[in-house]
Amino acid sequence: MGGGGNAGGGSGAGGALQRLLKRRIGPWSGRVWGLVLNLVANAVTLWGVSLLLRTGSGWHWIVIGGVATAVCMAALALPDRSGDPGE
Amino acid sequence: MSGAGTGQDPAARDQIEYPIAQKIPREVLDAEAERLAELSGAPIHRRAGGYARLAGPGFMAAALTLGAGTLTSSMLSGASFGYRTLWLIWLSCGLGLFMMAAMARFTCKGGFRIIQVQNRRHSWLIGSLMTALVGTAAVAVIFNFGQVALGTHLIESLAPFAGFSFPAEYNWIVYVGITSWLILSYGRRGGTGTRLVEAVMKAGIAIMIVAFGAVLLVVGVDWGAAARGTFVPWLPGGGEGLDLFIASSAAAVGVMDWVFFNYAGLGRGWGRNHESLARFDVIAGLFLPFVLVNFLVISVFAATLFPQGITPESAPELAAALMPLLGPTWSQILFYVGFLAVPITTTVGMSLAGAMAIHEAFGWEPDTASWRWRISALLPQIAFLAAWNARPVWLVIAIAAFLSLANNVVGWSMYLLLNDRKVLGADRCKSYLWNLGILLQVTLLNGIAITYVFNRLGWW
Repeated sequence: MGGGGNAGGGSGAGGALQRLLKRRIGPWSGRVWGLVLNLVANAVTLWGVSLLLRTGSGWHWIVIGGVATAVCMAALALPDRSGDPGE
Repeated sequence: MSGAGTGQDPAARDQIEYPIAQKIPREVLDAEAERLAELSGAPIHRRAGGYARLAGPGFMAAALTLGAGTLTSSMLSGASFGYRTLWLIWLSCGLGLFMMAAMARFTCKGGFRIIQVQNRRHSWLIGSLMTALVGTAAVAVIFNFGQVALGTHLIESLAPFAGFSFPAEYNWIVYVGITSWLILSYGRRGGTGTRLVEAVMKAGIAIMIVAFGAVLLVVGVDWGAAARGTFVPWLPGGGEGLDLFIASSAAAVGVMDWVFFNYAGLGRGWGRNHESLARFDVIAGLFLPFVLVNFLVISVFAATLFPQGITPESAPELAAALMPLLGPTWSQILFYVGFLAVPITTTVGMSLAGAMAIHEAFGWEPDTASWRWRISALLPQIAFLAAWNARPVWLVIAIAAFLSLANNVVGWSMYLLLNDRKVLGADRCKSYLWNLGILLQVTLLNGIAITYVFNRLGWW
């Protein structure tokens, strides 16, 4: 399974995101908070779908939730490729 | 079996020998290791043949997954929508492969028992409670009611072909007897018991494929419609379509399959050199049989009941409605025999998964010769009551609710462990695509939890 992008622990946006995913923020790491955010984004999308099915409106919620879901997944998929001792 | 690379949690490294594997004689494990080393340099066709003989836990996971619920859903799909939902089968199982590859990594490179590591890293609420007791053991007991109900009904339906009557109220003894013997054979006699159970599971899948395939030849298949249904996505309109998509995509391979694959692999003594075999087993043992059997079942019903607009609701009703359309007696018998392999293999797989999970939840060492193991493994057989149509409806509702809300959290836990340097060290996930595949499945599991809550609130 191949890799993609600058997913290492180096400089640039990828490196900053990598550090954010590893950093402990309150009780959990950034990666766990990302999963929580993803859940909220999924709920917003489905809320939009349920509105659409019931009232015929709700597209904006679907778009907001869908984009947020895509962003969360793209960020959380970054693996920790920073060097290991002995590597 | 050695632990993972540098930076790994020492506790995770220490727990590398699963007691069930310790009963396998050293020379058997060494011979398998030698065979694997030979195969690693062999041409692909020889390697595939060799791996197919060594594989097992993936086939067992397929046999476990191909149960009464999955097959009823496929029969209904074929009867209601024809060939048009065939694409959901390979997509749903394909999405599950990413998580199964994670389980292969935990088993082979990590060498640890997943529930113990979950308890240590993410609390007992997620490990012992959500993954072991609810996601695996309770599911084994509750879902076995459906297996026994279907199995005893099929035996009752088959008996008249042999010229006698054998009602479910009596034939449950045969069903429970055969499945209990298989369940208690696992892990016994120095590993040959495990091999026997794996062989029966493989044979069960082969019977399903031959039987449903032969029936499909009898009823005929519209290859054009089948090809369109396999490759062109289609869903019914409105909420029904979304429900079907979320349920099919996320539920094909679930928590019980993840747990079972990890422990069945450890029970076979899999180590670092087995990861290629484990991945082969996931694809050839789980993915291909799952897709093929469901393809055949959907196609049989798409070719028969769908054109007539007949959509019965339960598996027995579906099978009964199909019988007059099958023509010769032998094809009816073949369908029933293939169908009977479904609940039998699922009962065996689920009972073993449940026993493993119960032992992990309570911190007991699995000893397949002990009474504690036998009682845990045979606990799902309480479902013999299903022969009288008994079903603990309140328990089914409670477990389904808890499962809907808990499965995604277990998925989160697996994703986090795969990316945890303290658990897997240098063997943690370093692939963007692998993580993305797992996150897709986790997001679909989130979808199930959210739609369940919305349903309760009257918003769905």
